[in-house]
Amino acid sequence: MITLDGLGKTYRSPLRRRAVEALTGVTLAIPDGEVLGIAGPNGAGKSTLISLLLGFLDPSAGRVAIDGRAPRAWVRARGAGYLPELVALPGRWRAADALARAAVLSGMPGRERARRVAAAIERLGLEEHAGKQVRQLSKGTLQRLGLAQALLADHALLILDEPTHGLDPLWTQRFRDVVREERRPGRVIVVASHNLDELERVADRVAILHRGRLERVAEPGAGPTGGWRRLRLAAPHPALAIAFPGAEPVGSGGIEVRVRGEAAELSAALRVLLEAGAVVEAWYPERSRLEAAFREAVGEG
Amino acid sequence: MSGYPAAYLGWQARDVLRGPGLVAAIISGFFAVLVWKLPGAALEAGGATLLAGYLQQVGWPLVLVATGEIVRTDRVEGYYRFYFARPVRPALFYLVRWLLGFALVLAAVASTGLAVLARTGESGLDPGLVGQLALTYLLLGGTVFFLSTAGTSGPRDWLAALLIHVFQNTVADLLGRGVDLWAALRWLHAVLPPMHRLGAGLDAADALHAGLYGAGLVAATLLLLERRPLGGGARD
Repeated sequence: MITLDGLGKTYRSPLRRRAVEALTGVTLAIPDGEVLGIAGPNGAGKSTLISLLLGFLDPSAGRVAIDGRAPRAWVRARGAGYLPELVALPGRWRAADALARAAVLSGMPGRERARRVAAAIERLGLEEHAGKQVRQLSKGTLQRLGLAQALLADHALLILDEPTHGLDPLWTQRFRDVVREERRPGRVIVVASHNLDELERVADRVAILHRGRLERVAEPGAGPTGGWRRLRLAAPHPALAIAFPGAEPVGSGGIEVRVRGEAAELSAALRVLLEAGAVVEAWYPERSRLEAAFREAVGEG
Repeated sequence: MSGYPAAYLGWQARDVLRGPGLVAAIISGFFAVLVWKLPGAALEAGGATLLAGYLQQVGWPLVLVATGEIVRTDRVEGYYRFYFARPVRPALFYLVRWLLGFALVLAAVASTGLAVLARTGESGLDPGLVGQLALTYLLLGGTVFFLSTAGTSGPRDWLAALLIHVFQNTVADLLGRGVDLWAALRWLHAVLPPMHRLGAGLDAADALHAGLYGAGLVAATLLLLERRPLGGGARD
């Protein structure tokens, strides 16, 4: 269980002439077993919050605790899986060596290290890059190496900062499976991302930060999800029920509905509706609950 | 050792050999060639004098090479995130690295001692010389270690230590000649690491002063690493 209680962080210049408030009064409890998403625009305080969770920074105000202990003491005792936003590893290291080092530093017994490293290489598709130096890796491959080292040991705390940054669409999709596989009781997974769609798919709750404040905690699972579209007619038309028999009415008046289906199926239904003489005023993808919450939180609702 | 997996020692030793080890090998190799090429008359002073002269000239640069950027690079480049999200104590991790630097300096001096032995018949590597080397490492290497940990802005740690080294020796030389210096300079000379006391003619008082100062710096560095967070900003 992670608890944040009035957590704040202010960066000060060496002579304390300038101060930047990166986080203010963040209060939140993250129970074991939860996948928490952290969303927010650039500079919202996501990376600062993560640095505080790992004990890389001390809070200026409030308190953060993991199982009742200060993060630095907790991490030094138990370790965490961590993918930083920018994967930084010495350029001359070879990819497989980086993982071997990570295995040693994570305290794995000798007989287990090689097996875990080989498994991580296979899982993240790094076989052909294992012998390459870090400086030779493409951005996407480096990101996969970063993920591999974060997932190598089975730590009770896993923190992924912009995990799909630089990944191609295939690996972005696979990442969702990875989070699902990593989820287990007793483990907290924190995923910070700009990508709301990604958070919607992997997180139980999403903490939305804006200008250093926790504006709200949204539950992506509850309410509308992606894939729905809205259809609004200029006036009620009987063909609507024929073309879209499964449509859900929105409000009263019978001119707006929510529909979901394959693109070809929806196109055919629309054609039926138009041929029947209905006038379509609007046809747009429905905003997810998370996206709506995010826009509202950052003042773009 | 709790907080430092012993199995990582091999990786750290490899990093030391591939980084500062290469520079140390070049310096030692160059001196070995010089010793080999020395005319016979120059060898009459004996191996001990030759090696002492070598240490006087090359000892402190070797220490700078062995200790430079130990902590600073990891903080500036963000590598610390890789090391210390794991169950590893930074104080132990960097203490091991710093001690490996001493092993490197010893190995470099020993290899030069072998060259001297081959040429003169005596290595010159006596306990007194090793003690002086250890003291230099403790004070100068301790200064670099401390500067490397204390901050990431400003000049590089080894360069700042070099400037202190030059300043202390210059001021000591001027004071020795009876030059009347500003009070501020004399005060700085008194409080900065006493690197001028490591030269020829080192006595017990010098050794005690330098040793205690160096040990204090190393202790302060370890305390900083233990107590202070390594991050300077969100993405640092």
